[in-house]
Amino acid sequence: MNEKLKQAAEAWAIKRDYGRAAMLEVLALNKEYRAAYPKEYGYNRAIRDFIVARCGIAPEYIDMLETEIYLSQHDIRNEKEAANAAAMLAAGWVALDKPAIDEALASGKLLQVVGTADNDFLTVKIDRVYKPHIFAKGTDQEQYGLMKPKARTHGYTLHQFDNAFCKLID
Amino acid sequence: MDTIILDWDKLAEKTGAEDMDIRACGGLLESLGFDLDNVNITAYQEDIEGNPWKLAIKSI
Repeated sequence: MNEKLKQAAEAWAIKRDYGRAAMLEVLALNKEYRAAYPKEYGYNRAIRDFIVARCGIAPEYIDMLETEIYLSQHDIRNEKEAANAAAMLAAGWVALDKPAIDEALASGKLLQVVGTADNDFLTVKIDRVYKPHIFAKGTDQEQYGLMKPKARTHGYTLHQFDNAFCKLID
Repeated sequence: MDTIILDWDKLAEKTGAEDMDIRACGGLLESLGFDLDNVNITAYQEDIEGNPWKLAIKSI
């Protein structure tokens, strides 16, 4: 582990690639921590202490280990999102996107939407029925979005929804 | 409301606070329907130095 962290630290010194996957060993140990402490939140520091105790990381590589843990947290989040997406699609939901809104508009139906909605500093989980809508249709300000069923003017733009899935309903 | 995620960085930017304390958000959380005696707050995402920048607020 120390040798791999040394190599990673050398590569990191040349290029800080925050988009890359974590070292597989660190990802596996992160999952091991979560399996061992299922009721605990997987804080970076707790995972670091777990790995240091398990593998005996040299002090000069602790910084790199922390970076790998940070990256592994993203990998785990991405894995969870991919698993959730696969489960939703298998259950008959479709991704909430422009074609889904077009289909709902064409059929005159509403959309049951499950996912998260981002409102500036606040992200909320949603499971609601919305009316499909295209704001400023036909202009250069055109935006696909959703509105509450009885709303006439205000609504939500499509980009506010993240990892969202929908179903047509009458 | 049972769970929300607060983006601490954006919230601090909006309020102009450099070092904001979660207790300063009591009014906001209450206005969102939370009972402050019965909420659980955890880091939802930490930055590379382990500082939480997104917080998960859950009713318990």
